[in-house]
Amino acid sequence: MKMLRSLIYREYKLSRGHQLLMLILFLLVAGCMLIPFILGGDDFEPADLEEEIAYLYIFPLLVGIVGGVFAGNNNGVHKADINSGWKRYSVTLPPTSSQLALADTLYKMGFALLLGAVTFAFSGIIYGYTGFSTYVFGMNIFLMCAGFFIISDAVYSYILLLAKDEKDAKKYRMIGFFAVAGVLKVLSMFAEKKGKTATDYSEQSIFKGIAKIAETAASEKVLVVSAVLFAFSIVVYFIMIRKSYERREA
Amino acid sequence: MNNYENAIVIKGVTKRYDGFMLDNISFEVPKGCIMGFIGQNGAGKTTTIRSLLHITDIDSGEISIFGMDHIKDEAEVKKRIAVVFDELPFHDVFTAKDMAKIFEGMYPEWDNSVYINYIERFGLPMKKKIGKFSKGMKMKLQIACALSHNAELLVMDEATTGLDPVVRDEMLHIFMEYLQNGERSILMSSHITSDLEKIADMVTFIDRGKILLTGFKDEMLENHGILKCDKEYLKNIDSEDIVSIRTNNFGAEVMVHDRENASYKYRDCTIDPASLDDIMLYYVHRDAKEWS
Repeated sequence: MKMLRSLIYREYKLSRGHQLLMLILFLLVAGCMLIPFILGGDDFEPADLEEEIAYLYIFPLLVGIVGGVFAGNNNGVHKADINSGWKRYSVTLPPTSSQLALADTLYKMGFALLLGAVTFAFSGIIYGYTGFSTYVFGMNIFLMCAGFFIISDAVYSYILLLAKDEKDAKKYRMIGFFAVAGVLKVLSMFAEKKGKTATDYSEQSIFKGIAKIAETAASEKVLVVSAVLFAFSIVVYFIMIRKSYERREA
Repeated sequence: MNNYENAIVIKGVTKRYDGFMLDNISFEVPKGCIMGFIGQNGAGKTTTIRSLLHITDIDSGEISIFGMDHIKDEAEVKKRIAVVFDELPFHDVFTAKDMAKIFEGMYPEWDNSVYINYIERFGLPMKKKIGKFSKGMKMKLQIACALSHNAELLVMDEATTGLDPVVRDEMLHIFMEYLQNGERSILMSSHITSDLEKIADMVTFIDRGKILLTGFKDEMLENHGILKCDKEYLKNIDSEDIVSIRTNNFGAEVMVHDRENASYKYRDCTIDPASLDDIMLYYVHRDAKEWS
């Protein structure tokens, strides 16, 4: 326990600037999304049901996406460890690969939960203004996005941690970046295939799209799937990071 | 805590790189001893230390620390060792206080009072960011961290390189203090042989991935000598007695590896004592036999 506390403290001290910036940006985004509800919610007269649904869901959708991306985002600690020489030095220290990976994972999960709480609170505020519940929808979007980005970060970190020093890190960052871009491209191709190609960007079409997402993502059954995906991403992250720490220099 | 005779045993270790090979090296560091690990840049000192610490995997051979396998018993071994690198591996944003908080949880035997004592003794600020430290201050901080968890083995890779003579001397004094209870050992790699001449009990000399000499420093210095003669006299010296010959305009200087024997055999020559620097230099040129 004492060991984990030390490792998490180190990670916190190194990434707090980055995390704080992410949190502030996220709060700003969430704050901006609340403006329509605070200012003119009563005057809004939707043309049809789809537009009404879209209006109610578009803001939790955006907040969920941004929160999920920020939660899964790389916090820069691995890169800093390589550049400072700590990565090599850490091999000579008592923490095992599992303890190091557990500390990284817990810290990442903790930050994801914090952003998840903000996402949940955002839905609470919308409920306060409209009386319409978007809790399940918001959390589904958040958990799915966070899950995808945590897996992407696991892939990126797995590649980055092959680097021995600062010079190496530049090369592996590029490789990691392209690997993540490749993974996201494959995922987006898969999503496009499933949802047919969306080439119509008219207002009506966007409303329809959001209504369709809401139809699926507002379901409590889907929440189970999202939670499982999130938990799966955390497990994948832990396993890949542990494997990275187990590796030794060639 | 287990009983052991040698803090480190390296047996037949081989590690191949593209263009370099650590070739079947073996040596031991007895408990309570300071082992100087010398060799020119690129000789294989750092590779040996990285193999020992399991930073890199070895291709073959065995390494044991405190009588335990360096991989199988890695977790136990690492609680009882301390490592000092030539560059400070701590992040610039941390302070000396942060480092104490970090190491406190990592080492079961971390002692904050010992740490603070070293910090005060070295005159290091507790709350200043490490990024603003000088090279000497950074090295002192690394050494303070290494000495504050009652480590039984201190492994240093070129730790005193780049430090001014005053700081180096201060560090050497602290290492000797640290060894006083007889339970601790030091493996110290350096190409500054004068430091090792001051404090090492034993010396291992590596060159081009091979161990050329390993043993007690005093014996090594006692056995080796520099025989001074003119170039004509060289033909009288048995090739078996010679490590290598340095020639100059005035004559020749021959490194012999058995000074006592050489002083009997070549009575008309003077044989000066050799320093570690001399030994290193003459052994590095052993293949050339004659060099200038």
